[in-house]
Amino acid sequence: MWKKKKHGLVSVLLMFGMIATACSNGNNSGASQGASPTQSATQSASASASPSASPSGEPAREPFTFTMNTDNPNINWNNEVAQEITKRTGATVKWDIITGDFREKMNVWLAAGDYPEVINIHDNTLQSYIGAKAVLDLTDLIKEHAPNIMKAYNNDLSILQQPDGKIYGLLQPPTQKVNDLTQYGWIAIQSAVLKEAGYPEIKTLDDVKKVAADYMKKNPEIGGGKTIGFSNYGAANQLYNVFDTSARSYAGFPTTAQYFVDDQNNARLRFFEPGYTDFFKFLNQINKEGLFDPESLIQTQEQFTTKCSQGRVLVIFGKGGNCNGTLEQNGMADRTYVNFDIVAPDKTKYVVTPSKNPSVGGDMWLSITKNAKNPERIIQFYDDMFKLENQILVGWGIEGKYYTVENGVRTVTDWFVDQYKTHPNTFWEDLGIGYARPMSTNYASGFTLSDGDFALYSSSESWIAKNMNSVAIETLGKYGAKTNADLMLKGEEKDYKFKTSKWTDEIKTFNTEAIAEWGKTLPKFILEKDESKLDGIWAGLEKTLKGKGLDKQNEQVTAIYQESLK
Amino acid sequence: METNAAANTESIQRTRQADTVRRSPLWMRIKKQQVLLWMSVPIMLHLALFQFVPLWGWLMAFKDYHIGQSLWKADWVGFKHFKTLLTHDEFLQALRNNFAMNLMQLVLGTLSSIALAVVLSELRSKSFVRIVQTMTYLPHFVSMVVVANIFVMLLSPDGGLINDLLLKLGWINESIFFFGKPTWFWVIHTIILTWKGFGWGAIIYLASIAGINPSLYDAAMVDGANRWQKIKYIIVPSIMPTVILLTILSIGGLMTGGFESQFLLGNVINADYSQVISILALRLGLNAGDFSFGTAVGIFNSVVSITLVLIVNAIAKRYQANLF
Amino acid sequence: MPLHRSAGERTFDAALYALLALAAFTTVYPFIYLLIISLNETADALKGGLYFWPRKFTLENYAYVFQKDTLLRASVNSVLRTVIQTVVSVFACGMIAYVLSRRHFMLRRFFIMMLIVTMYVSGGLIPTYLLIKNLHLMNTFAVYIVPGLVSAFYIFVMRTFFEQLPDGLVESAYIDGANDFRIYTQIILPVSLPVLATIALYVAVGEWNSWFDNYLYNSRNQKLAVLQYELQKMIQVVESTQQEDGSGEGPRVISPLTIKSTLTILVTVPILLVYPFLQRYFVKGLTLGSMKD
Repeated sequence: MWKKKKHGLVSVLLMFGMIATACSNGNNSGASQGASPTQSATQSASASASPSASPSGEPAREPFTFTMNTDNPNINWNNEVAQEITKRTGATVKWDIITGDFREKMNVWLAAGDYPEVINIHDNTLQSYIGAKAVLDLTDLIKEHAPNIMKAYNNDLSILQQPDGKIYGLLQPPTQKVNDLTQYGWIAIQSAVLKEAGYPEIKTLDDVKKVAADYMKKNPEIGGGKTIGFSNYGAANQLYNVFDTSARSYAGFPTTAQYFVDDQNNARLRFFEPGYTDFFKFLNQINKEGLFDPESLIQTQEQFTTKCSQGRVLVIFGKGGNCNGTLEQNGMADRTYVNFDIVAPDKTKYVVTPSKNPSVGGDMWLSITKNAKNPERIIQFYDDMFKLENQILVGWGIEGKYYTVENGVRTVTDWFVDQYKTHPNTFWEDLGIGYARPMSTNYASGFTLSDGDFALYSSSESWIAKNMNSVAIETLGKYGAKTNADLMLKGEEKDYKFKTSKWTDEIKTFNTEAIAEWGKTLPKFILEKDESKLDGIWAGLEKTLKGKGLDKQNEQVTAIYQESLK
Repeated sequence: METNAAANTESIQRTRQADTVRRSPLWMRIKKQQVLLWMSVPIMLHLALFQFVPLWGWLMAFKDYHIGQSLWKADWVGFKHFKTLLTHDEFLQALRNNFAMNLMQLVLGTLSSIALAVVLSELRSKSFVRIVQTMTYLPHFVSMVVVANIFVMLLSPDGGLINDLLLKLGWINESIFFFGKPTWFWVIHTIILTWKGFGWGAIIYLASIAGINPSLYDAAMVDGANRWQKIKYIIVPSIMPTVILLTILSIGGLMTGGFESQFLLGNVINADYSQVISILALRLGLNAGDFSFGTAVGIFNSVVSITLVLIVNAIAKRYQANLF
Repeated sequence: MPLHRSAGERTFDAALYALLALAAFTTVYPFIYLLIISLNETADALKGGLYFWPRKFTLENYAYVFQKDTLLRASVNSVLRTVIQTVVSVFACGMIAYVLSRRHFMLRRFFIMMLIVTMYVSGGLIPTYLLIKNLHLMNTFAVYIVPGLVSAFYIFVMRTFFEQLPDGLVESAYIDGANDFRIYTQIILPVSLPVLATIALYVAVGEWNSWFDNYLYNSRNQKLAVLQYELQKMIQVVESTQQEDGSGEGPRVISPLTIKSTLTILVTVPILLVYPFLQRYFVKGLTLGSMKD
């Protein structure tokens, strides 16, 4: 019965043969390992490009391709703007798309040396790349090959320098002036609520509470659901974003990370500054009156969007969360929101003087890696991109189609706005106006180019106006405003020069812990029924954080801040 | 063929067989078992390659390693990263949460899967069984994110289905803020996870039941056994080895397992009951020496898990239910 | 089988049927819910309140997904990796399980300890990545199959099953002069269909759903993309769009809610179809029917 004894062994071998074949197949296609099809294409392309193109020689650069990372899976090089860039600079970008965890993949690439030629990279990841000598020092490259970059930085590259004095990446250049029309206040009220109340003055939180409470009394239900007074989403890491922004704004504190800086330039974690808990006390109060949605403390953006899209939320506080687009689409434009800026009656609003420089440590760098086959050519490409006409190209697109110049001001076309409204998901990629970051133009909102006009279409008055619905225009009009930015309080400007890039790991760890403890205390504070206990609850948080080294961290942050002022 | 025949007789007397084999010289045993060796050694080497070779990375846990740097050059820091985790003032609380939730889930999950499998195997309508089987294992395919969203919606005090129902039935007067009650979290979490996994978990028991030798049923029928007796004396004993196996393996993860469900269902209000080790670790490792700290947490988990499995296995050995 | 059942038994059965039907309804409902959302207009779906029927029916979500020309190839890759890995892995795991079920096998204890350890240790992301790179598995189809060839858990489950088989089965084969490989392939495997089906299901579902290896190792070869990876990309696009326009202030044609629902439906249905085919192997007494001893 079992005559073919060897058969079994043969099958075993056969099976492993199969696996081995799979492996060797792997070997074949992976032979160019590290040089994937993407990269080998690059190689051949760049091989044909000679580095001889002189910086003085205008247009007609020789064709050239390089690889670059991106977190946008839809990004491509097939649109009109991309073709125009290629025409003007000769360059084609091969995108190395990262789907999933961006920083993780950047780290893995670094460990294995698999990074593309140019990387768009967060500051902390760049530090690892510098430590591993994976990115090139650009100092000489810029000096020799990039007159336009030099000009854009006013011949002063010091802002780009790392502690070792070298330059490992580009940021967008400084601007002439900042005019941020996209700002908006931290408390958003439904237009319908304001209309019902006859557009009363909104100066204090009590004003807001009054219009909301009155409206709620008259309309206990909206669209079949319970009317909600104040709400937003606070699940996970959003809690701090939403609630701290509100408390800080209401107390008039400047946007200096988690710290408050006093007149003597001492920095303290702002949680225990006088006035910080005022907004939370207000929430505690309105919670007892049924105006506050306690789910705000834990709900996800999706859950909140549902409530908001039903038009049931009268007031939204903090940053983010307004669902005007969805409300409009659902035929409820009358319930879209207008944003107000409110500061506690006894407080002054302090504003950090808007910086004309890029945010070192905050903005993403553009760096050339060791894997670049032709660094000179890449820096030449970026030099081309720093020319005014090319900055306009990436920030605004094609003249005549995407925008026109009216009275000397760039104005988006109706066609352009229509594209956004009908294809919101593929708008940036299809039209090719998602290149601002990787091509390094001025992208902070309100930044202007050397011609004095906005760097990005999205900062412009025409864009904002054309995206506003008639209800919002009417409501804003009642308050003498054209945009939400007009309703911002002016405040007292102060040049804090507060930077977090020098913070030690210890400070960062403490801040994370502080926010975690803050997050656990906040719900207890807001949901507490007995008002007399509130200060005690907050004092408990202070005690916990003192135990974790609050005083020491305050001193350290102060020391770093005062050092940077020198 | 004598050797095989000999092995055959031996294996009938299991207790003695091991001694017998041990007495023969090594080369004899290798020769005797060469087919078994051929069948297993290459695959086990393969497994060792992919599972054990990367363990050099464990060195990171004892150093301050930054990506891109040479691991050999990084500074030794001893147990610094372990201390960060183990001495954190919320560590014990997180450990307790881990243990409680995993244990509850293990007990309820196992029992519900077994119950489903037994009931399905006993029902007469095979088409009904098939449909129910297919339907109950569906939640396994819905991502935890979606499941969490659905339950948060169902349990919401703002028009959630459960609250509406309870209100209409008159059992409560005011909506219950389910996720705002810290001490309820363990129970809610356990119910959700059990609901998500019981159908999928039943499959393995169904397979065990399907593997039962039909002659056992025939014999039972001849003896006039009723349904309960059949379940008690045939079905349960036959799935016991699988139950024991899965239990021992799950106990390995008792102290450390879990992340996604707690992360998605937990919130600041119930953090004292929902924060587990991996969530705490995420928070602590967010800034500093990421990879070193992360590796230290991984090693901690591994050591705890393997120790637990060894202990449980040793206990099981007394009842002859051990895994190895 | 008894011809008559008592009234009590019948009532009990009825109760069981009702209970199971209820359980089945609760477990199937999330799918119905996702299906409804995927068939509803986006902006309207965001208003919630969709329970049993779409309010504003549309196929635009599906149209949005299907406009991707990369999906066909990705589906083929997913099917291939699932089928290949299922066959190879079930066979390989079963083989180890069989060896470990032989109580006199010399390395049994050692191998079992080794397997236990593999279940709870991991070298971490970077060392594993470097290993894959050094083995030249980057940007290959093989990276979907080779690293995860066997898993300790599957081996243990199968071993438990094999150990419950009647001893006589193997013994008589030994007497007939069969070697272990033959016994495994020709005697053990055919009588173990329920457990094979279980493990096949485990492997297939795991393979079908995985995309991390694609993200990590094969992101530079579009030809090797798998379905889940492509879908992951779509979700990323929709979510980042939302961030770019300032937390959803802009118009929405597709939202994470609707796109995730659509993708869950699309990606789950194919793998669900596998189960009914495997179900027939779970029928009681099928396996040993041929060899009553």
